[in-house]
Amino acid sequence: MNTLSTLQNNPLLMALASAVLNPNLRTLLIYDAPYDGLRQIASYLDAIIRSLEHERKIVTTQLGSTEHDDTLWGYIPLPARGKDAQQQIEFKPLLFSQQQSAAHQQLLLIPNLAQISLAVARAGIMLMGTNVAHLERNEQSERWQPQQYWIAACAQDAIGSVSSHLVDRFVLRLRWNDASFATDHQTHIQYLQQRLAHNPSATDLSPADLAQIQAVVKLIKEAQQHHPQATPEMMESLLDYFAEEIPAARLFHRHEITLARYAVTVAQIAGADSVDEQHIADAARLMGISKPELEDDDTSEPAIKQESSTPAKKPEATGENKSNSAIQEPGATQATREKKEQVSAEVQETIITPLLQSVLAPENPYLEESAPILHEEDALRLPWRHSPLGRADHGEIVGIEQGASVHDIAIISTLLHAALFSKQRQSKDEATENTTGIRIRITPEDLHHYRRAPAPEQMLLLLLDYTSLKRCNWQEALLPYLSWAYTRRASISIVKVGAQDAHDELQAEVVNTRNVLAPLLDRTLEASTGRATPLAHGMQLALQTVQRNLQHGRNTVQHVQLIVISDGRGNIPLQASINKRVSTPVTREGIADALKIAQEIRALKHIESVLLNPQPTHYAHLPIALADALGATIMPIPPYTVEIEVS
Amino acid sequence: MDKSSDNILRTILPYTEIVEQRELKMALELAYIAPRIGGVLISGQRGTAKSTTVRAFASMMYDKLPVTIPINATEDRVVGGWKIYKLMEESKLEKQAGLIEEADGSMLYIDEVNLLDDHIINILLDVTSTGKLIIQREGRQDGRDVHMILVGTMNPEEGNLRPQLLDRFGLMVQITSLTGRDTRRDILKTVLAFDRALLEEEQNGTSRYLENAHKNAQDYKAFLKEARDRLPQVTIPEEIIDICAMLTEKLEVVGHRADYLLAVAAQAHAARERHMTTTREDVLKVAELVLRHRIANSDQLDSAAWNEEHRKSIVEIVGQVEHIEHASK
Repeated sequence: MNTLSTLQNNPLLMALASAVLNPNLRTLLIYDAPYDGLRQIASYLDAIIRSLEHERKIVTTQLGSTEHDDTLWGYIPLPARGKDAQQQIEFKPLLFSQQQSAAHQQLLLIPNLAQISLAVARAGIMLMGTNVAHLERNEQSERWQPQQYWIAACAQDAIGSVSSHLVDRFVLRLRWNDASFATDHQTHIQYLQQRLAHNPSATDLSPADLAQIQAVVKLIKEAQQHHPQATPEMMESLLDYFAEEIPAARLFHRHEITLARYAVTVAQIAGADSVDEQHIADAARLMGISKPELEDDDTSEPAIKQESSTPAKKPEATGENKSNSAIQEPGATQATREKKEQVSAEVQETIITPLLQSVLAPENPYLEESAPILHEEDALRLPWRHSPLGRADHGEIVGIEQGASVHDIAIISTLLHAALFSKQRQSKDEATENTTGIRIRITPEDLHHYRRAPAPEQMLLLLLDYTSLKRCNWQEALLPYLSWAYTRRASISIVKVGAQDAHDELQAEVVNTRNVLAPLLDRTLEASTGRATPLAHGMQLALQTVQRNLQHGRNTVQHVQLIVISDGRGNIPLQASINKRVSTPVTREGIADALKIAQEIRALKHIESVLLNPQPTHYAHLPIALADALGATIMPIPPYTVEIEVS
Repeated sequence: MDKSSDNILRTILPYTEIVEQRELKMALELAYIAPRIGGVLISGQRGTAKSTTVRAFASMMYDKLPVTIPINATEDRVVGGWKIYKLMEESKLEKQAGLIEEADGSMLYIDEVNLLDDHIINILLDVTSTGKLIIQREGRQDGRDVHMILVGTMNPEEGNLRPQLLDRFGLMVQITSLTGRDTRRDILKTVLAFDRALLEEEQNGTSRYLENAHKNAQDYKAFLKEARDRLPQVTIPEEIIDICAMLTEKLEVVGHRADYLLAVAAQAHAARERHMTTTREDVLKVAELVLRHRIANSDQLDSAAWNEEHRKSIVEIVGQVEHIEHASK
């Protein structure tokens, strides 16, 4: 396969080449990409840009959970002492500034989009997908064209944790194909061997990759001199890839515009004079976009012909091209498409490097449209402060603000502000004194303190035994405790015991949510009933959760409200849960283990326990025994009331 | 204009090339023709060319990018402060104008206005409600009158605005993606044509597409200036004042500015239509823009709050006034 064909068949390669060619295509999100993989992709892009002589040097910066506004946009450093004391005091521009933008190209690498700081998320909103960036901070006023490359990774099942407003700014989406998850053992072994041979932890590229890059750079250079014409026919054809009759709220022009721009770069790289249906089909395939299924398409004539009418430099009609063009049949069924993609993948396998092989077009590029929302309301807003206990010095620092209080003072900002006026405030005597160093006088108007995200000080820990919930109105019994959690802005952890969706039915699981408003809470409470009741393991997890939140590190929780809903009939011993295997006949061991751990929980401070008793018909004493062991208050759960209308 | 601003300006899609968005364009134009309207809030889902339209409008009308408050702006840049270098190195107090002052006489734009820091919003509320910028910080005690068109864009997915700030925007536009195959095709055509024109200009120093677009924009700018000049001569008959009062009474709008703004916006609409008298038609055209965010229980997140019933009510009320008048004659 020649380089052009490789490019036309490889989603990552085409995405990187297109990003270089068109600044509007420089935001790339790769689902499930591991950190090493992301670094290698960054190295790949870096190598491409270095090889393009006229391009400026690219500087890669990694963004994560610790950056805040000052570290992203710049600040005024404290005056230096000693030999640098004469150094001018001026704003120090950092990552996002006109100066940095002019000095070199920037690649912003985000290893986990679901874990970035609020400042990074807000910066992303301001800088991606726009043709003008503004900096208005600390007396600085700048505007420039942000043309950074952004490459981010995010687990597919975590996409709901990210504001869809932010996710939408990533115009190209790809998917990491991790063969270590392959069910086929042979494939797994092959993949492992490739990884070991390639040393994926290194950011250095393999010789094969470097050779590939040189060939790709040659094509990019040629493409930069070539600008194909977009035709009305092409636009008509492009619209077929998006459903016609969808409401405005689900129609996103950015998706259509991106496909159009991508098709233009595909045609540009192919050396075509105009963009045709084949280029659109190629672009759509590489982006993971397929035409919406038609209700009655069996007899319709394919809108896209198998052979392209254009390119002067189109690759020779090799076997892979035939398979490639066949993929674009618009009326192809899902099964046919999959088969053809497989053929295409087999052709690639012998030619392209492991890195290029690892990145595929996603089945659905726009996951945010269907993903459950896992983030909080107003996720991109600066948090409101609502700490009735006045303990706001615990939350994560998200900014700095001016204030008259000395509480939770931001020392550097306060000093900097005072330093601005140090000469103005000097008395005549001080001004004439021949002293070294800087004397700073702080007045109340200099005081700055930290703006912090609210940190929960209360915690609701709910142990929910799903196998005991039948025939009782547990939701109503639980409601007052959820209301309490809401009013106290408490964090919530749920220990799921005996849920049908458990990864292993012999084990309990913990689900943590930031507060009662998190959509994840609803989904957890609605889980179905499983077969086993690993109550002892659930109690163990509850114990560990309490210990972690009350005793470890800088946790802010001061009080835990433990609510247990269980009939006490644990049928899995703790050891069996740990081993994930039941080795002996199930006896009372599961119950005894649960009671023993309950006593350990009772011994902890700052915890208040309540057992909501489902009032089982059989073994009615077990929930009472569990409550005794926990030192919990018992509250009976009323049975469902069924009203029978007699006519 | 510095070179970088010039470079950025040329990347802004010319206003006259923007596909559809008639209501948004009308709102911006009315706010320009009658600055007393105060401002425009544009709420819409992602990717609906909100910012593009605002920047294009400012580029056309003021030959520069709008003065913009980014969401991470610090207070000193918003209200003004001292020049740091002069202060620390030379111990001289030299004022540095803030963004509000820079925007005096033109447009102050806030992209993602619902993500702005509460503290900055409070400052803006003070300025827009009084028309005065009072600086009392860091030893500065200044005050001056400022007149500007406040324009904010927001994605309602990220939360709504406080009612006090909402009320400062005279008009509100709610935009969604444009549907219809022809319109979608036109959008693609425009975007790709503009991309290509920029390339052509970069390579050849000129682009016929851009030349035509800029000429159209200049013509349109002259048309709007003419409308603005015409405004003082446009009369507002008694019956229009009656209609404005009745509309705000019957629709139970919140606040006391709606009737006034309704009359001013209708007058601006008449000026835009080259009329010398404000008519019922003008009121009908602007009523939704003025009243949408002022009805009881309205919420920028819930576009259903303003619905077909409200539209029907407006038409009915305007007709009713006519009926009463006819009856009295």
